[in-house]
Amino acid sequence: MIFRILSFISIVILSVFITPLISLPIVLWYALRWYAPEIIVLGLIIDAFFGGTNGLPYYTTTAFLLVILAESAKGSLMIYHL
Amino acid sequence: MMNSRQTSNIKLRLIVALIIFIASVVFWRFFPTPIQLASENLINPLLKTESFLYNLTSQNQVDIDPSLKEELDYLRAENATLLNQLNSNEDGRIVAGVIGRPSALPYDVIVIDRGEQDGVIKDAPVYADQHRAIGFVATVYKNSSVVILITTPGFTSTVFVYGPNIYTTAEGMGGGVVRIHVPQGIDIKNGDIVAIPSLSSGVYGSITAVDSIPSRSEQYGYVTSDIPINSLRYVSVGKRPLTPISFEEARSTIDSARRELLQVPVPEGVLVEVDIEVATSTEETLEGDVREDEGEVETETNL
Repeated sequence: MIFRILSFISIVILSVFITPLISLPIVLWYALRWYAPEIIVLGLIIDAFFGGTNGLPYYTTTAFLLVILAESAKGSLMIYHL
Repeated sequence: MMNSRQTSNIKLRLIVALIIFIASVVFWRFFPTPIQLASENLINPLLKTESFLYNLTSQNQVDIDPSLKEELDYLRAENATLLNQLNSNEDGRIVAGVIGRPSALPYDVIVIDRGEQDGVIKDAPVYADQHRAIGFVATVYKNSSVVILITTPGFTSTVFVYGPNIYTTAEGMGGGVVRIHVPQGIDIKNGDIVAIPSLSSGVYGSITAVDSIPSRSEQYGYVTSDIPINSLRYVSVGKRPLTPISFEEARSTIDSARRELLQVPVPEGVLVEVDIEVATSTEETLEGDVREDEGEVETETNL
């Protein structure tokens, strides 16, 4: 549990300060490692703070798609059947 | 192979994620205030810590420099910038520190450490120096504000290009770059100065690259500012919001910016100028002398 909390805090910091090209794979790993709907809320927080005037909540949408992708992939990945 | 229990488990997880997503979008679109308050409390401390570390690192770089003169020059330049920003407008401005830069932040925006409590208002122009506006305040929080840059993707503005002397539309490309597009046949070239009259500042930057293929109907010019946004430490914020301007007002701004192009900021003590009052009195004295001389001539002639 502590590892998960520390990972989430790291993801929060990375999402705010590092380019999405680096943070996205880490978020995907996080979503594959655990069931992670909290990253949608993190996306919402980033969208609300930085992108209040944008037409679309890009981070929220991306986080949702990552969760969907990760959950769908879990059924096909060998590691989950060991 | 997955059994039916695993399949229903995944379906349940997807449904929960979908519900959270829909609720998030609804909140973001219709009730943004509580989310913004929460995000301010979460993200502001992170930004301030990062800014503190950034400034600490910059100061250390100056300290380890063996030459004291360079340090003095650096401090003088910073002081001059701050004084410029403070005294640049009769209406006054609010000087703010930059705590978030576009290279590190989502959405190509900057975050400043002044907010509602300091008098920052929404839609106020934000300046990098005395005249150069770089964007406007998009969201105001209690102790910070988010500034949308001219270069933010999706941001379009009307610009004037000196050289071909044309008005055209510019769109933000992100990363400190604005792109203008003009028809083929109009001669745009590197170094042409670009001004954005609607931001009441005049000059923004100059064209640094031209993308022109003869077979294409339009050509692109890429404009960057002379001031690198990512190294900004302070900005000043206007106290009045931006308002739409007429074409006449835009033309007046362009003309005044054109005049400013000829001026160079020379430090006090270096510039040699004739005091206007002294010059006027000298002129009067000269005129008086001439008249006296003429009188003498007339007197001599009369004699």
